[in-house]
Amino acid sequence: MMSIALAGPAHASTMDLFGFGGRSPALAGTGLATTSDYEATWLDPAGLALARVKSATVGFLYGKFDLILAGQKTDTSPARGSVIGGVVPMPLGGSLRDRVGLGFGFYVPLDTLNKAKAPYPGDPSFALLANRSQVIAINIGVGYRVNDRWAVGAGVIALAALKGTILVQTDPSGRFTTFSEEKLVTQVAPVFGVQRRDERLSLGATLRFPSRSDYDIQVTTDLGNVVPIALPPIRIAGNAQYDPLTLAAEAGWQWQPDILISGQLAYQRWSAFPLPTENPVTGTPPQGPTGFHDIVVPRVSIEHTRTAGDATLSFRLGYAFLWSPAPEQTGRQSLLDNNRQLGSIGVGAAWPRAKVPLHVDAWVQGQYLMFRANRKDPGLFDDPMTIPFDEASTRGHIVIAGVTIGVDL
Amino acid sequence: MKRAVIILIALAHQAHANPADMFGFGARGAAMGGAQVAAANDGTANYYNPAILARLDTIRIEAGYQIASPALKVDDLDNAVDSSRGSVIDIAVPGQLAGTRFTIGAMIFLPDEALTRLRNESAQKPRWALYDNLPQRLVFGANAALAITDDLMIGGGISYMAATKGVVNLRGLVGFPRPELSNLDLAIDVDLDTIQYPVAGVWYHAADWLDLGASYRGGFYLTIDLAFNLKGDVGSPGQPPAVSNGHVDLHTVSQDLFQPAQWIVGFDARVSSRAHLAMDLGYHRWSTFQNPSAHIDPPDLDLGQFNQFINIPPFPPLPDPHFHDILVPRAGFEWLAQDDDAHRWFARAGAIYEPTPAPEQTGESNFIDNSKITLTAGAGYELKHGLGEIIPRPVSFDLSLGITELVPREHRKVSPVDAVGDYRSSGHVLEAGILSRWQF
Repeated sequence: MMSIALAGPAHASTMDLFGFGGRSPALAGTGLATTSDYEATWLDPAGLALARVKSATVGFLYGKFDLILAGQKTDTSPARGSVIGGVVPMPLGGSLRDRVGLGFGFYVPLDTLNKAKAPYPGDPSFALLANRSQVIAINIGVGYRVNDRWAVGAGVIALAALKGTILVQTDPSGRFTTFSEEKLVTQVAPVFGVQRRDERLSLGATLRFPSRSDYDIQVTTDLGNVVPIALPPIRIAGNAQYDPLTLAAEAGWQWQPDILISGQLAYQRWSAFPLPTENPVTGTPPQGPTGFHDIVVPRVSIEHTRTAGDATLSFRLGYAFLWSPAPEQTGRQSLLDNNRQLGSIGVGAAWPRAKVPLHVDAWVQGQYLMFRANRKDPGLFDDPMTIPFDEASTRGHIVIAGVTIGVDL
Repeated sequence: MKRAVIILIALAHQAHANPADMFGFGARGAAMGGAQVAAANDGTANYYNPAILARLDTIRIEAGYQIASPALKVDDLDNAVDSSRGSVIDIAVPGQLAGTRFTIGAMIFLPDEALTRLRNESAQKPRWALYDNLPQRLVFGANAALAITDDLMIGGGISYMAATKGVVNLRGLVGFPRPELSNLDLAIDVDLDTIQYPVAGVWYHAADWLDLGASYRGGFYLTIDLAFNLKGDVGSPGQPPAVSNGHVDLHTVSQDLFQPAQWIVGFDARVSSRAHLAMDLGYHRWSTFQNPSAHIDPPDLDLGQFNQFINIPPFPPLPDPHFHDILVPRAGFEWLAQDDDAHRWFARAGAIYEPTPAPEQTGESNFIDNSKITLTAGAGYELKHGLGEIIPRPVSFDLSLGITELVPREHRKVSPVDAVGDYRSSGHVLEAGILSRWQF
């Protein structure tokens, strides 16, 4: 009565899951109002306008998923990827002097640029966690400082989508042959941000449009001379990665000269979450909606910064509560998800006046999946034999660590 | 028979050009025949020779557009192939690291149609082997360069591509005799695996009048490795199935989108106060090119009572294409035509000879390629003082034009009963590009 897919559909990006860079993940994903380096390409491109030196950063992260579905551990791939970022304050003159900054940030998985993985509809899986880290992300942004307090910015987040056709047929000798064509095309999502900075209070807001990576491959067969059974046209289509529309606002308060406290609220429009797979043939009954709902994610963090000789040291702590957008999966869909508590810790060291001006940041993040049970409602199924399971519980945790090294140029 | 060949090629929608590998990156380089391994002087060095990035002392951003329109013919009939067009963007950001010049940069050629396109067909189907998928791909790289001394620079970087591998599972009911009544569910596990290839270069200021350069561009090939598994019943909904728990498993592998490893050496000679002469010689390792045709393993199937009607002969091994390595000479010339307080005008020209790596297609395969002669020309205009106080540094605009002539070639089949028969390939490609270059 119960079949379990030990891996799940792939949705959303590493940056949405863990944050981006060396500082923000240590602050539970905050930093929107106080970042002015390459992390701003994801958090709030307005911050790029406040960059004062050219810098380049490389880094690495590793994440381990211990996801338990109905008492069994899933085989979710670990997150392993590199972070590349840079910021360039543009040396323009006249009215644009010291007002414009460019930035870029890449997350490149070591093994897979993109992953489309989804079980059969109804088979239980971690809908929003499994394989989310297996997608390349490219962020590019520009920031403009309006005056001493205000800055605005815009950017794009690019993902890749796969489209194609495959024709399977037979040659005159009866052998199978194929004609296939695949195209990898970009799907771009804009990002807009604004920041206001006072001596002790920094405010920021970001509007991040949905970014998604779809796949759509049409398969047709013409095997009439060899196989006496004709296949219908088959459409292999769905969504591999999805980040929802996000509107985030943050305040950073410099409580003491060496202590920064930040709080963020992010609205995420998960109600537009698409189906991981679409029906491959027209005769298959509709799958029904995912039933996901919008959420608001609160994040808080504290950062203590002190000098030690020529070095500047930072100690960071953060916490976030990540509401699950998935309802209890009582019907045909089994897109499982849990509320998560996120805790983070990190350190940073910078030697801005050294011969080689280095910045080193390291962080560890833990995400605890709160226990949840999903019970199927037999009344929602026409045929009791199609109920994939009676009850499935989910729990687990994720541990992620990262380190980045940057240099001022 | 010749008519059949022409139709087959036309149906394949083949032939394009990779503006970076085949026609240059950026309008200045393209106008100089791509002879830039020592002569590049801007962010296009990201592509030609990343070591040159360490020479730059201002931020460079370049953006432009390139197009190549081929007219490739078999037996003098145009195959109506697609053109290749896309945007060129690069950036170089110089700085200092421990008192040494250090530059980071990135470049991208972004095709209009798609980041990459993989297309494969049956082994015998004629195709323009070098013009089929090569031009339909993203060219993307990130580089860093370091000045070892004032005269010696090194640089390198990584470029990324993706190969497809995975499995598609279908289960349910296949409608028989009415396939439109099928009821199938889909599960998918497909990865775009990371393919990385290196780029490296060295540049040496040998004398006041002479610069030397060398670069290496790694090779790669992309594959499509897909399995399709269909399990379930065959019959009509609500009726006893004609086949219970049948299955059809297909596995297809094909190699396509190949780039040969390339070693390039060259020089840039200032033959007068107004003229540059640049020459490159590239070694392209085409001998590693594999047959790009689709290969399907014999299907594993069980269709119950229908098994007795199915007899699928085994798929023969794909023939080796027998490509060979080639040397590609390039020459470029740049003349400073006018230089006053505010403006500079440049005239440029170049030539390329690219012998074909493909042997004459005498057997079953039909990987058509010809030796190529390319002539290029172009012009550049520089505003020495930029665009006023906001952008006070030089701004340039470049134009390039080119024509590649494919030396006509006969393909004579050994077998008198060859399914395709003898044919003659020829054609030309017209290229054009524009580039704006900005210094900050």
